Amino acid sequence: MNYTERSRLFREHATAMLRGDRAESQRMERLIYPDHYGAHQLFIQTLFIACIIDHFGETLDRAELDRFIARLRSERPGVSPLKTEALVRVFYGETHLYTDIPQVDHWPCMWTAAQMILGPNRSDAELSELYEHAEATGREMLSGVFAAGGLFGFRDDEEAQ
Amino acid sequence: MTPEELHRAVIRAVAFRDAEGEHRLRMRFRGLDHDSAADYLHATAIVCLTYRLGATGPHGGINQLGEPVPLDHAELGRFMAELRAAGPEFGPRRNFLEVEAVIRGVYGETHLLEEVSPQQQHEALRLVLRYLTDSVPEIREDFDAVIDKAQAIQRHWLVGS
Repeated sequence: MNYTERSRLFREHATAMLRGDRAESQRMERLIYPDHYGAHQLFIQTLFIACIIDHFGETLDRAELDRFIARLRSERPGVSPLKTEALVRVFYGETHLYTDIPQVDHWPCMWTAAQMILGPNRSDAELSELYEHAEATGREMLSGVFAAGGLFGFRDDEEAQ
Repeated sequence: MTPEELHRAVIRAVAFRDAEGEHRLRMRFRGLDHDSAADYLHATAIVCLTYRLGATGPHGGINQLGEPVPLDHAELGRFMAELRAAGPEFGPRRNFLEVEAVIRGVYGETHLLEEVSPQQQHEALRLVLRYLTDSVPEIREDFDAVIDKAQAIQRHWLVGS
C-alpha cells in the first residue's frame, strides 16, 4: 500500500469515526494492518492537534480546558479525564507529560476529544480541509525533528515506490 | 513504645529516608498498624503540601484541616518540575502524571484518584513527603509539629469536626 492509498484509508476511517458510524469505522479498522499502526498513530495525533488548535487556539486557557474536561466527564464516562487533559497539555508545551500517558490510552482519548470538538455534522469539504491541515502540521512536526525530505511517505511498501 | 510513638517513629523514618529504620519498626506492626501507617502517610503528606502549595497559592491552597481550595496551576507546575528533577534517592522514576493527579486529589479534584491505583497513590505520597522534608527547612527542623498537624487531620477524618 502506498502513501496515497494509505492516506485515503486513514481519512475514510477518520470520517467514519467523527460521524459516529461505528459499523463503517470498524470495517475500516480491519483494513488498517499492523504495519500501518505507526503511521496511523501519527495520523491520529496530528488530527488531534488540528482539532485542539481549532478549539483552544494558539495558547491554552486552563479554565477553558477545565470546562472541556468537565464536559468530557459528563458526556463520555469511561474515557480518562486525567489522560485526555494531559494529552491536550502535551501539545501546548508540557511535552514531558507525553511519556506518562500509556499509548493504549491515546486512541480513546484523542478520538473522543476530536469527536467532542467537531461534532458529527461536518461536511466532506470541511473534513477534507481539516485532514490537509492535520497533515501539514504533521510534516512540520517531523521535519522539525528530522531534517530529511519525503518523510511523510515513510513506510511505503517497497514495490509501491 | 506506645502505638502512637511507633507511628511517629515510622513516619519520621519514611520522611527522612531511613529505609533500615522503617523496616525495623514495621516488623513490630500488629493488626491494623499497616492501615494506620497509611493514614499517617496520607495526612503527613497533606500537611507538607500546605507548607509548599498552601502558603504560596493565590487562594491559600488547603486549610489546616485539609479542606480543599483551588490550586494554582503555575505553582503546581513548578513543584512538579522539581519532583521530576529530584534524584533517585527520593525513589524510583515514576509516572509523574499520576503524582500530579494525587496532589490535585488532595486539593479537591478527588475524581482524579479513581485513575491512580492505591499502590501508586501510596508511592506518590511517599515521594511528596520525602521531597518536601528535604527541601522545606520548616518541615525538616520541626517535624514533630508536622506530625501533630497530621494527627489533627486524622482526628478530623474520624469525627468530622
